[in-house]
Amino acid sequence: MSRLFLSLCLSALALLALMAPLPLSHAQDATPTPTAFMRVRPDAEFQPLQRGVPIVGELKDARSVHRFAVFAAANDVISFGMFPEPGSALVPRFEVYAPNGERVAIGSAPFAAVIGYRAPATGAYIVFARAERGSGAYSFWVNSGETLRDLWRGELVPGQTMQGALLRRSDRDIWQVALQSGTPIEIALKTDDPTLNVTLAIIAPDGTLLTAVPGGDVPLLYVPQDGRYTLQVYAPRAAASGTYRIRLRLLSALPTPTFGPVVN
Amino acid sequence: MQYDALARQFQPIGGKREPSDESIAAMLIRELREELAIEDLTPERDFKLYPLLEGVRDLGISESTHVLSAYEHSFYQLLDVRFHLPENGTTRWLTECELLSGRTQDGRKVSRLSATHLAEVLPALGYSLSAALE
Repeated sequence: MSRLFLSLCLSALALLALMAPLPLSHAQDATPTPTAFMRVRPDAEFQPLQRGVPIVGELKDARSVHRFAVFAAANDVISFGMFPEPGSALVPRFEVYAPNGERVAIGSAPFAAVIGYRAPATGAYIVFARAERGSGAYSFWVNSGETLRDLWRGELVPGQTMQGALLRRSDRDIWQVALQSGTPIEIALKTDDPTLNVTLAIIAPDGTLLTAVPGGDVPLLYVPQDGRYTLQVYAPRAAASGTYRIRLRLLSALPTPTFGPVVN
Repeated sequence: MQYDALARQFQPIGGKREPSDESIAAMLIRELREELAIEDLTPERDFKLYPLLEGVRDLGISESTHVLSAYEHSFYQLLDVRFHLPENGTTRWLTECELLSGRTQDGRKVSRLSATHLAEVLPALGYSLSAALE
């Protein structure tokens, strides 16, 4: 009886194991990439901003304004974002002024960002960072293109499903994987939220952009050179944020066609 | 005068004429309402506007955006004021010394606009510049 009970239990456990979803081999945490940052100097006339380097400051009251300047050439596509630091009660707001002094963009709550702004003229763009409501610490970002922040996710392990997360709009996840020339690979990408439409870009070790695939599925790609490949996952136009799963598979070499014997 | 956080200086209460402003007087009334945060301000009932100087042309670097800008200033005086002028850390009367030196007592910058045109404005107010400087 007890043997029968034990075997039933074992069968049930085996069945449960089969029914359970495959565990993620490597769940990435949601920690942003450690990055260099600048601190606001409140006495600065116009503190210069560097693309890709956030500046961190604190607005002590509703009347405080921090002033920044960033250079852009005509037709440059740039993005701006201002986000409260964790625990900050600040609801941010910022304004961008073109080199002719005209106000050209406003970023305000709930997503204080201006994504993909095309600079109309060459010169210094002035940014006023202030509070829409409240007060507290914030970070201000400016970057080329439509991405404000790169999140380093780590190594893609071939054959394993990895989880990524675009924590906020305008984020871009970065993965890396070492591959050998000539290897056929397949990449499958699935977002957990159907409204999140991502694009997967694959960059070769020499910096060449191999492909940028809307949706992220790459059924077959022959790796053109040895080295470390960079995979970028982002939502174009920074439309949304959310999580996704990605798996890279090394395909076996495709069989060489064989021909039948020639019959005379 | 009022402290403008964008320009980081005390400036006369006023502002820039917007396309929706029918006249300079209409602009000034709008700015008074905005900058003094008093929505219910009605000319004639609460104050009278008296033009002091109009059409003063100036070329200078904007303190807000640091852009070389062409200005045309008009100065108005408020008469028969029948509302409470708020005074706080950002809006207050400045002393003649602060106006002329370009710095408040606590070290904040003061727009040179008033001082530059004081000689023209003061006679209209019934003063003389020399009396003001004494």
